[in-house]
Amino acid sequence: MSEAIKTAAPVEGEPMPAELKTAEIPTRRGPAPGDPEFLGALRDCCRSLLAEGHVQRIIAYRETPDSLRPEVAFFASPEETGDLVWDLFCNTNICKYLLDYRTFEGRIGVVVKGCDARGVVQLINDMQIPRDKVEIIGICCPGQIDPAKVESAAGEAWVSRVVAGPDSVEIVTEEGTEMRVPLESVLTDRCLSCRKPNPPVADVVFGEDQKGRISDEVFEQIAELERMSSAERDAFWNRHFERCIRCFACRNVCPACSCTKCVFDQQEPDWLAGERNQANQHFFQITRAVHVSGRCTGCEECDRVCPVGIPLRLMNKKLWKDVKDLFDSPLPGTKLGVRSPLVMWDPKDADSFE
Amino acid sequence: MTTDGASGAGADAGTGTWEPRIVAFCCNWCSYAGADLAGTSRKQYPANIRIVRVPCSGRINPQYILRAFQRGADGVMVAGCHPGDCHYTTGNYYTRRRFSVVQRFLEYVGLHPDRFSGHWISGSEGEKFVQTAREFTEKVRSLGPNEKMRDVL
Repeated sequence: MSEAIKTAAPVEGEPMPAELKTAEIPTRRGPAPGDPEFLGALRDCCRSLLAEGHVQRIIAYRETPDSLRPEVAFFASPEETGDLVWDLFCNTNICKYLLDYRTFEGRIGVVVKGCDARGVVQLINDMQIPRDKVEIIGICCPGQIDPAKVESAAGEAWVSRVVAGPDSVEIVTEEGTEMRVPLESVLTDRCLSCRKPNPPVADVVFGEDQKGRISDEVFEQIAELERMSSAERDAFWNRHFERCIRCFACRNVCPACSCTKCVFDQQEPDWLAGERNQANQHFFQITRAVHVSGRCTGCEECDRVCPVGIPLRLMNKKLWKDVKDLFDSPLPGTKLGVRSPLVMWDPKDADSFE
Repeated sequence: MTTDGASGAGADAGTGTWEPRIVAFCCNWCSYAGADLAGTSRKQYPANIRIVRVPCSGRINPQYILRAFQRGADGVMVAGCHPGDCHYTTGNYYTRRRFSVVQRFLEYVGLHPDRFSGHWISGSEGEKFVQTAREFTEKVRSLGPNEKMRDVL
């Protein structure tokens, strides 16, 4: 491999070589988040990708007046990348935005952490966007922070800014008071049990592989539900399903939900009516969970974005557990070219029928 | 989207004349043929079973199961050719995978496991169809009318 291939940013004038496409992670890495060089290097990488014409858009984040809540941003020119940020408040999984570019004539760069990157790989595996149309700028993520937890820790005071360290976080209020809390106490829920913080496939990588956090908490909750009686489970899920307002946020953020004609939008046949009765609520929730099963990457973005707090992770992770146990398949989104176990079969499959 | 008056849960249950309503999705080539054989052999099976004929069990969309419960079924059965004997060669292999997942999931979200079952019934197994229909009907009868996924607020 030539020297050019080993650099983190593409070299001017050289097209992306075919070997790099199949190599899943480049050997050389940029500085890690937390390193003072990180943001400058990330911006430089994005700026040169745009300037040299390797991509025509970059999807990443930008600061807002609320320092705890950056917004998703779309960069079209090298100059704009001066505003590009990536920090520990970039909870939003941006991979679905790639589908807006299905007919775009050009390549798109995405700045993605582990969970987002699995979503990108799943979109590629589901043939929703070609691999060579996407420049995956991967970040080995130390864990994201939940702004609500930070604000809760600050109590009545407005939070001015947060400085994150490896084990603790310093919260500075507008009045100037400072408090230090453990990192674990303000991490986003799904990050507390994240085993795969590193992008499985990337064209550019920042940071060293993170270990993640080993926790089986969600599987313990699922096991607890499995131990309940049928009637108890019925009551549990009814209580949650009845709150669903059919905003479809879960569907909209999900990388496995990429159908151009979604079953819930169909009028012929009219599967799902608007009335929020038990029938329709169950129909939506159960059908969506089953439709994404076998392709759900476990990013838990659905759970995070639900405005009424339905514990979608307890459904989607349960389906993942069953698919893994039944078919011994890898976590979706961790490898290019893998198809869902539910579109394949083996004559020796287990049989639950009589 | 409202259920019709004869859905079973209301008046019938009150007067003690409730009969379970079972929807059976049967593949044309094996299980439906098996049911047909039961009929031509004059074997009696409960009239509670309402058969929906599909070309292959692999055609059965999990949404059909949900729809059946919404529209008044108290139990749902899925029946297809034995693995290896599918008329379309591989259709029932997909059924097997899909329904392994769906069956566990329906139980997990609170549907009583005795209300849904899957069977491999061949075209010559008229007797098996009869036995399956009888056993399933009795199981559902003992559970009473289904309340889950109905058109209630």
